[in-house]
Amino acid sequence: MRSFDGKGGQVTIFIIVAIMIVSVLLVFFLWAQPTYFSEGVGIKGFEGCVEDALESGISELEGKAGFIEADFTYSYNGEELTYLCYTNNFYETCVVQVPFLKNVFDENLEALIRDDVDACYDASLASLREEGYDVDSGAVDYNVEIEPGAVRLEIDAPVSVGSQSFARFSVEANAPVYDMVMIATSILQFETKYGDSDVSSMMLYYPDYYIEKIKRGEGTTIYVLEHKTFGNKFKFASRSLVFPAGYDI
Amino acid sequence: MKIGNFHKLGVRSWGLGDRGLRPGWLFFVMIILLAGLGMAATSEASYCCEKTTEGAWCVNDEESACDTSYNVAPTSCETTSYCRLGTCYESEEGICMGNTPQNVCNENGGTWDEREVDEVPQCQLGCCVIADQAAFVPLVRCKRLSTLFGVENDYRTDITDEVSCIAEAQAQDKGACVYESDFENICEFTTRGECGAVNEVEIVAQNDTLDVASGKTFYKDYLCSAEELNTACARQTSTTCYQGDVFWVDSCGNNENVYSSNKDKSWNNGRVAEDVEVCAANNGDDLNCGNCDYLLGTRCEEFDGMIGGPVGGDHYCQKTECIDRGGDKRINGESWCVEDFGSRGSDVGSRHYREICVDGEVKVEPCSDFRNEVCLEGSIDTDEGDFGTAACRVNRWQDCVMQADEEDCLNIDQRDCKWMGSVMGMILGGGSSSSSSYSNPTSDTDTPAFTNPTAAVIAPITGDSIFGGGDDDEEEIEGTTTNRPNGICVPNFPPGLEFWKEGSAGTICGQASARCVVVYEEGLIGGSDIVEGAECLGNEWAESANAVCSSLGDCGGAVNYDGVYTDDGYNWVVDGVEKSLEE
Repeated sequence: MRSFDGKGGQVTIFIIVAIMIVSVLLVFFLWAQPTYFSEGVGIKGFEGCVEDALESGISELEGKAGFIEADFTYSYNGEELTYLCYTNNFYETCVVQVPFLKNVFDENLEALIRDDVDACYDASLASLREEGYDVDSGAVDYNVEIEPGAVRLEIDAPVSVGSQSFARFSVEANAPVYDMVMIATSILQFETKYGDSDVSSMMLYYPDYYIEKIKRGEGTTIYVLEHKTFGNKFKFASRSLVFPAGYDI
Repeated sequence: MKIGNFHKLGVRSWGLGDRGLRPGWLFFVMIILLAGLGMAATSEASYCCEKTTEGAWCVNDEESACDTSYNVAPTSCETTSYCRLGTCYESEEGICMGNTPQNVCNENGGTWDEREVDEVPQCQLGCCVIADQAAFVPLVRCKRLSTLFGVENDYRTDITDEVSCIAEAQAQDKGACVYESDFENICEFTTRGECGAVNEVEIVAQNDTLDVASGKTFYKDYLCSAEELNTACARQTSTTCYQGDVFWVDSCGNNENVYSSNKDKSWNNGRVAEDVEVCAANNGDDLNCGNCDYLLGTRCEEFDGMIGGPVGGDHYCQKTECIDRGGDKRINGESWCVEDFGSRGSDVGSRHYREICVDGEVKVEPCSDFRNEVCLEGSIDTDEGDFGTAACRVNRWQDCVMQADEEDCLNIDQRDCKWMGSVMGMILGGGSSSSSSYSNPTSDTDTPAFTNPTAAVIAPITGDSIFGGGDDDEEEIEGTTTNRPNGICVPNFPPGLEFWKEGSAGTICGQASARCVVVYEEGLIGGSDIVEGAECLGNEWAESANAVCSSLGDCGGAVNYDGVYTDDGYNWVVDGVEKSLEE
């Protein structure tokens, strides 16, 4: 009998412990929300809106080598292509105009989509308020980082919706920008050193890309990097090691 | 017969007695269509603009082109502090860029070093091994790549070239990396280095096939589906594309051997097999062999058809072909040379092009204009025939006319020239720029004989050395001479010239001119016999002279890239009468 009573006490203790664990978990998930939410969780419609803005921004910047409005460009077929390396002299390799493309892309993408992201944020909050939620919001801050295969946008947007609090959102867009920026950097390294680049070898190393090289009459070379699957195009211009027509005297 | 001492020109008849001589003149001279040819005057850029009004950094240009809110100095950029070129180094991504101005580098957050890229310690290249891949990059770049791909940094400074680096990566041991988790044997097919990378502890046992590191066991040359390993990975459940070939994939997502519909052969009893051991290089004819070969024009693609696909898999070696302009088949990756409208790239206005077969589409890549680059092609022997390769290369035409020796001329290590037969009376290198006008030496008037109909001045090739001093009718006659009696060295691919505007076209075309003196001997009872220079009276002489001219560049009478012939690039005069090659 004693042993039976002892077993009954143990069962009771186990039940109490189990109830306590479940209670703690419920309190954690329903009341004390974690402050980090991955994609798909967060303010209604916000991530999707930002993702659209991100993809649109990436698409716009790719054609201009990462610049919103570049200072120094070459006109080709109605497009203004950014000179990333340039010399106006004959027989000389080019002078680098933009040494670190990735940083430029990061900064300009962040600046380009800022208004759109703010608009997404405001629209989401307005939508929630219209639905009768009590919404408190803080200042939005974010950071763009391009990585292999994707562009990640980390957004700090403190929001309280009723009893729920959100602090950070992470939105990711699949885009081969990083690879394209690095291929472009590699081409520039060749242009500065040899005045030309061998795109055939590069296409062997990067079979997902087609690299088009167009030499213009006055010496400018246009590069178009195109991802075969996504169709993204990264375009820029260079003028390096130009030979004159005849002798330059 | 010797010509004797006839000396003076400018009179129509010569009072030399019964055996007087009548000099007949043939001039073959190129005219340059220049509006005002003087010394080709390239504008001297005497200022270094730190930034131009157009937005370019560090350009030598005129002062008016400089943005005055930045530095401007009346000197070359090479000598300024703000536009000194050096190496710009960025420590986050580990990127090194040469030829970067100091200020540009600093403004972009880089670290500038005046040395060349190769000399900067941070930019020294080494072999960065990332799993079974490799990159020949600086150390910091390797660390960054390792972080991005989530592998441990494996940087080898003892490997000093890219080829060895790639070979090193390919030569790494591969096998099954097995560890236990939740009472289950988990397996990853990876390199030996990768296997121990996550939990690096002292290896407690090692032989040819086995490394144990912190609970992970590396079985060299084993597939994860090998029965001996007792893992949960079932063999050959799907296929994938990897490095251009088709591979079997196990149920855990690990690559196995190259795909073959003969599953047992491909599986190889759970051991790694070389591609050729599974099946021979696939030229695209066999859907059931995944050993694709770039040089045979095949690479892995997903099969998107409903029926008739590879047995047991979704990927196959797709052969992609293109049809070139000649109607010939070209396989994927092949490249070849083409010229404008079928010409061999020497016609006026033409340039060379390279074409590449990419995914069934012919892509065109132009070489530099003005034929400053020429397209050269070669081939690689394969089992299926030649694999064509082509490239644009600098046209080294500049010093051809200076070569008087055939061996020097044809030295392909030094230049791209060809050797032509000598032309009577041809003088090479005699061109000079001049704005003076010239008299017809056989005329008794002062009317210029070689005025360019479209230009205000005369082309330099009708220089004083040929016709004597301008209006002076009293020029001394010389015999037919040539300074290239053994042959003439000319560019193999004539350079294009901007003959329509002021530039160096005059100098290049003016390097060649020909004059041939035909000597007649008057008979006692009338009539005359040609005693010297008869060969110069035929069209052949003019044609050979024109061939030399047009070989120098866009000179002489020539056909342009559109097939249109123009003859205003030369002047052929016989006894004061202009002639045309078309006649």
